[in-house]
Amino acid sequence: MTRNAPYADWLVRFEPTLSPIDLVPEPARLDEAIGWGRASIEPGLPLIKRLLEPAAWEEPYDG
Amino acid sequence: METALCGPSSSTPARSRAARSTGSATCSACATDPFQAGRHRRPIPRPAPGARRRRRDRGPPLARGRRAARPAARRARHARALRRAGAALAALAEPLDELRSRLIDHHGDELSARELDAEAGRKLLVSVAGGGGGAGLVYIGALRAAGARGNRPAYVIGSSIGALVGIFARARPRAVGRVRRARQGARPARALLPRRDPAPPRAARPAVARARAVDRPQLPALRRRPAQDQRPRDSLRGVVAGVRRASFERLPQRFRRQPERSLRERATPDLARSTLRLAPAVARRMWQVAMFFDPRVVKPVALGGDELTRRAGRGRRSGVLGRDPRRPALRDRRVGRALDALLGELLEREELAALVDGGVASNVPVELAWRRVQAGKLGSRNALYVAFDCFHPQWDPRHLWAAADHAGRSSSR
Repeated sequence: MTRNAPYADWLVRFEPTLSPIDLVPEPARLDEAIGWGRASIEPGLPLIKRLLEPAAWEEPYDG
Repeated sequence: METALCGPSSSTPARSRAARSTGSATCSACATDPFQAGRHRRPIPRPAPGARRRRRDRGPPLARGRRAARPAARRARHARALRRAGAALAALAEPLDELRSRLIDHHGDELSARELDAEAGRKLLVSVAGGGGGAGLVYIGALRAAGARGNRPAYVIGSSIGALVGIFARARPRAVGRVRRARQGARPARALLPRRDPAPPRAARPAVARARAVDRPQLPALRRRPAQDQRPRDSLRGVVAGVRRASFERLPQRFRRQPERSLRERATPDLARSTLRLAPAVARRMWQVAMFFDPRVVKPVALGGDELTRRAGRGRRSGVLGRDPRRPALRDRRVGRALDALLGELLEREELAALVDGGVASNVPVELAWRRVQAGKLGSRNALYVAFDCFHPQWDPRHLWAAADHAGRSSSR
């Protein structure tokens, strides 16, 4: 990842996760992992949405 | 003058008092005579009268005041900066408009104004999902949450479990429920079938292009036209690691005789294979994978990015995979033969000797994604790269030993 890191605008780290060996988990564990993934990315989603907006630099800042 | 014992342990009251009063835990006498360290007495210097009180009195109210004043001052400073930036942009509008016109005139035969505006004015989301085995299942939740907020990636590239989750979450969003049912005994064949592409990105506002056209450092790259027909039929790429032929030939023989070894393992009776032979076989295979963690030995190969590898997943009727959605494709002998031929052609073209898990070459292939997008594979080179790494920072290749041990124990139960 060290070599690839400079190319990423945002690196999402997930914690906790299932074990790497738990490839086919029980349905309850799968749901748990999905919840962890959602919780890890949720704080950054407004930033992603903002970064993907077309830059409205024509409109002057009124604040 | 008061003296204190200079002890080696900071838990000694005299030592703690001395260290506090001097502000340092080292003692020059101990340094000069290490055999008597902690056994001699030394003077405790006293601070100037009132100095400590003044510091304590001055600190907290000032800190409180700074903390209270900081957000308002920061907001005001940001507002002033934004007003200045807005005023500067108004002055820049005319020169940038002229520059954009010159750019279009110069590259008119290669790049239309609409293409320039579409590329410079709007960022596309590129999601890069790394490998990690079962740990990577968290990506499902992440991609779902991003999609629910309208942040649907235009390009998903992943290796190992990241590629699989990309297929499920990107191409077949409802496939997770099918996987869950598959875990409970249902058939997962339909979940693996590809789906139709999303709509291309909308054109951006022309004014934005004027700002971005001079801002982007890779401006000369605009000469390469990202034509409509260069856009991928589907924007999902799986990355595998190709073992370079020259490096593979230098590997020990036991690593290169996999077909024979595989046949021998299949011919072993089930009892011996499951209880005695499987654990060392798993450990051996994991160790073999560890040998490939070297860019001189392996290189990342993106599947689905060219005509050859796209054939593997094209459509239900004509593609190699999924001719009949009611039958598991990989059990179909015709599919197996077609895949063998396709992979053989791929190995020949790339001068590779074998294909292994993509995480070996590049666990989170952001660099590969960037290079592909910059080469015009997405139709735009203006993208936001969001990398998913379920291993960071808790993974190290040395953990393969623990994985092999765990797999061995699981198989011997």
